[in-house]
Amino acid sequence: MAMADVLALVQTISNGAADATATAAFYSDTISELARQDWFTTSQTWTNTIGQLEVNFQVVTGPLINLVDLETIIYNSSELDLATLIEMQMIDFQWRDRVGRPTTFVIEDESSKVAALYPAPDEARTDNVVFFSFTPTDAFYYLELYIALRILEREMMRQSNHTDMQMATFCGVVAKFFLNTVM
Amino acid sequence: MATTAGTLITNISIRVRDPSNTGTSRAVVRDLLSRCQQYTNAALDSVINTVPLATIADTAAYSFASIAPDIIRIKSVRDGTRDLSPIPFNRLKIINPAWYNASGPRFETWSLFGHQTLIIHPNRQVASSVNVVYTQQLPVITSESTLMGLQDDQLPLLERMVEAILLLKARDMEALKQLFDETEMDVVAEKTLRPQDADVARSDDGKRTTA
Repeated sequence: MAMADVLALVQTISNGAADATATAAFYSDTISELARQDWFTTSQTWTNTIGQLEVNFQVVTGPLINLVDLETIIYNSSELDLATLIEMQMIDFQWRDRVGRPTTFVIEDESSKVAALYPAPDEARTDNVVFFSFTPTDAFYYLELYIALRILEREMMRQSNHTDMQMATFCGVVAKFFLNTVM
Repeated sequence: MATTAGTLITNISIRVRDPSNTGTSRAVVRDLLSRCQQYTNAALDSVINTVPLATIADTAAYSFASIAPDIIRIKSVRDGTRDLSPIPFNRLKIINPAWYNASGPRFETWSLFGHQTLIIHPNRQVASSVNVVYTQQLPVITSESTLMGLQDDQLPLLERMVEAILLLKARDMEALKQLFDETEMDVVAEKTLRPQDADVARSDDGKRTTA
């Protein structure tokens, strides 16, 4: 189990000083950070319904995948452009009422992973594709030491009875060096 | 002659002035050796592997897991003896907004979406095959008698990486700083002495992609 191995590594390098609860939370944070840097990515097909404006991609990908970032949406073989809500309001004030072949998608709610299609699709298709990043249960073996050092950087930086800013700094420097080698 | 993990563990323990492994057990040093060798190999692209990928008709995206279980970084994709051109993922739309289902008589380019998805473009309408060249994740070292997979001239760099972690563990920051500076310089020197393959670079949005 990668998480257990990483946390054991943290305890080893810190000589048992690291707090178990805090380091477990930092593990999740570091995995999320790596997910936002597109270290864990995949693609999945999805089906739309006619006139469906909003798509909840967390529902599309299922409960077993913790979706982080929606990167690219393919509809009817074409990659949709990403726009912001403000841009859509400038393009077409009544964009939510339009129906046609989608050309653009807008992230409605980042936390719930809901995206709106513009215009809403006028046909149902089963061959749509979404590319996204997610947080896995376990990271790759070669990332474990990097994750352990990032956890230690935060653990040694926070206020505690074992705060060590110098060690925190060096943990961060070494971690960054290791990550750059595998980039 | 190939070096065993046990020899390196002994060397590293002497370097950190813990020859009896009182401060850090040999098992822990072996674990760190196994992990640091991944970064050494990734930095120098020393151990490369080539595997065939059976492409599916009308399919563009392939997960790394479907190609091989030990990929650190894909370096090139070959269709027979012809290297496909690498292209950043965010450029595909500029070339052709309908790139995902575009098909042609032969593969032309390859791209990476993040770190787990390979894109081959355009698709072919029949099943085919390409060869994927990648930097390999080395096997985990489980025994001190394991022979190191890296070349002997790369082992001093690996030893320094492990020593850096042990100095960090011992909170010897002065020695760590000096060692770390030497290690960075060694990595740069090693890379300049070796032939350059296609490098992985960052795209305009700061995310990993191919150059």
